[in-house]
Amino acid sequence: MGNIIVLGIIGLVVGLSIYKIVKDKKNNVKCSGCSACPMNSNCNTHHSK
Amino acid sequence: MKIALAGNPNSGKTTLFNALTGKIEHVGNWPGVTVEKKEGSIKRSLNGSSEKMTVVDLPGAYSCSPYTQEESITKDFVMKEQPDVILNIVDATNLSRSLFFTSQLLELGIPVVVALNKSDLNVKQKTVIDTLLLSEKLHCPVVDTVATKGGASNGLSQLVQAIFGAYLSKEKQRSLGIRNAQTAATKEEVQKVDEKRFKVIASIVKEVERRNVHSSSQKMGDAIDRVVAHKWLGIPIFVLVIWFVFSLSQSWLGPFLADFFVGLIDGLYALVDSAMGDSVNPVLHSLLLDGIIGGVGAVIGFLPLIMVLFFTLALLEDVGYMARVAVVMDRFFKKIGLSGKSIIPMIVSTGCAIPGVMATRTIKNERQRRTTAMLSPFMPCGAKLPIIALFSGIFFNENSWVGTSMYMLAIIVVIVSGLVIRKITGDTSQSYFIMELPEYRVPSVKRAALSMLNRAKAFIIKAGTIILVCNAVVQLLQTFNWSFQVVGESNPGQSILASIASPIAFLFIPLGFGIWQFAAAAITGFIAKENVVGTLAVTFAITNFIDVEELALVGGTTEVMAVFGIGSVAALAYLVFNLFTPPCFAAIGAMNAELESKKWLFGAIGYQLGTGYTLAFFVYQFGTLFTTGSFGTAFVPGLIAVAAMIGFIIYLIKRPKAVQSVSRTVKVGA
Repeated sequence: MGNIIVLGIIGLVVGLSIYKIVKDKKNNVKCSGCSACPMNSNCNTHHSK
Repeated sequence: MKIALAGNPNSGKTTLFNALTGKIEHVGNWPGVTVEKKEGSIKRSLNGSSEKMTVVDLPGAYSCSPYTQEESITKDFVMKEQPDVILNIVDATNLSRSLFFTSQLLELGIPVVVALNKSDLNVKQKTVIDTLLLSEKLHCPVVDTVATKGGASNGLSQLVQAIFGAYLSKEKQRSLGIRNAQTAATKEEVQKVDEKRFKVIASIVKEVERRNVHSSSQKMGDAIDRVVAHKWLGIPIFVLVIWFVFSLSQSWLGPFLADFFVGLIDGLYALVDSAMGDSVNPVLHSLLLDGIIGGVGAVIGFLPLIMVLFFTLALLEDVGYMARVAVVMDRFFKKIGLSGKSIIPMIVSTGCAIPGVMATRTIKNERQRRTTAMLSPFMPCGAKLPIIALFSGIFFNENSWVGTSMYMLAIIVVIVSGLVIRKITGDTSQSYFIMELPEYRVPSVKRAALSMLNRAKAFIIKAGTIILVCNAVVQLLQTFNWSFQVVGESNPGQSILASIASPIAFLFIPLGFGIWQFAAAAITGFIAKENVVGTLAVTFAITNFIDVEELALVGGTTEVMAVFGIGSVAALAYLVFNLFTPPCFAAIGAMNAELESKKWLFGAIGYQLGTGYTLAFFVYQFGTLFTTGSFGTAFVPGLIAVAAMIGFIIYLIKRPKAVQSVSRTVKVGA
């Protein structure tokens, strides 16, 4: 039972991370992490579309 | 309603844009921060009408005759998109220069509203501008604004009302009546018109402005500039400033804040560990605990240090110091065929290489632009800071000189590389850098905090996505062998990860870190540089790097070296290697877009790989020679590899390129 719960948690965490990566990729988010980025206003790292 | 926000560089357009729209676009106290247009709607609290008012923040321009790519964006937008109203930001402290552009905007026939920004500075400098008379002279509304100030007295609601009034009036904008302004086509005709324009503006300024030129703050600013922008003193001052920034972030305030953060991560680790107990499969246990929580935690632990660094850099930028750095460096950059303008992308790259590379589009000369895009990633970006902090913390007792020397080394590498690229391309053209130095001002803690929080947010998102997935994959790859059997903890060298990384580690023997864990970390570093720390944490099963005491208390530096299997010289070489090899894939993508040439792109990647390898080789071999009296392992094979790379560069410099030079000369001359 413990194994299933841990596997579920790992699956959920990794799944959510991959979902976010794919979503960002689709939205052309460069994930620069810098507010000086000229793409800033088109990037939902900082602003949701 | 579409409003174009146009004005001179560093007149406060983005600050006004943020104040009008409520956005948090990056604001810098130097010209050239905005290189692409940005859009936003005027916030409800300022817009009383039902009409949607969209503001487009355009890059700064001195005139409608574009000299740089960002000026072209401004000109094209105003000329082609025909906004309903042009909101012209005029720097009240520099009226005569600002009105040149204003006079050209008035000739477009689109209603213009002038925001006389930085009015508060005029009050301090005892300069008085008769706004009503100026409005009369320019035939358009003029509103005093202080975009940096909150509350009702910043003039923003009056400005929005004036914009709305100009929009509703639908009247064609009157120009200043400068003869032949619209018809001038040849260079001589434009020059004559410009002369007339200057005369008209001078007469307007004479009537509307009462200036107290010798204000004390100007004297003070000039006195500071004589020291910090001095051609010789400027450099040691810059080194000291960077050293102070690193000391604050990595030795003084940063670790103090990190303690609290690391406590939270340790608490989570212990909680999950006790919750799982012994009943969970060891593979799942270590995947969740060491791979995910440990790997991500090791990277996140550096967040407070990075936040302190970004906060301090944002304050320095806001106070106006970074613009002085560009001036100090211009002298060296001119010698290698670049200009001080190349410094701006490099300073931006200290946050992240992607915007740094993108900021190169402000450089008109193609060779200079490409060279700058190629060299900007050498500057240590935010993602590389955890690597610097890790190695300086563990191997050099948190010495701030490590981070400072990496910055200085980056500048030296940029200067030498610029010279090499100039020789390879054979382009000897020179450009001159004219930069308007912004006035010193008291930095805004709010602006610096916003900038820091933006970057921190992105850092956390990156740690929770790319780094988390990478660490989970690394953990799995080091748990199994190619037959998908679990390799024992005592035998990690049999894992899939070890078998992939070992051949690469072989190439690193002359650099002092020919160990598969280091090779694996360097490879994952190409996905995101923070991964270097995460992968080292996972492969060496260390949950918490930031708490150096945890490692040091076990047995001091010797114990740490035993865990890593390398000494401090090899650690420095590894640090240099990761800092000077190509940046992450996202930054390489940005390089691809800006270089606009596959030849340049692959040349840049090859050059960066060669630079990282060569520097790491010299650091390790000569560092070992200096500390032990003999060269390190595999000196001769390493020397042959480095000599081959240097020989190839010399060949590229020496090869005949007469045709290329002629075509470039013609292009530059034209």
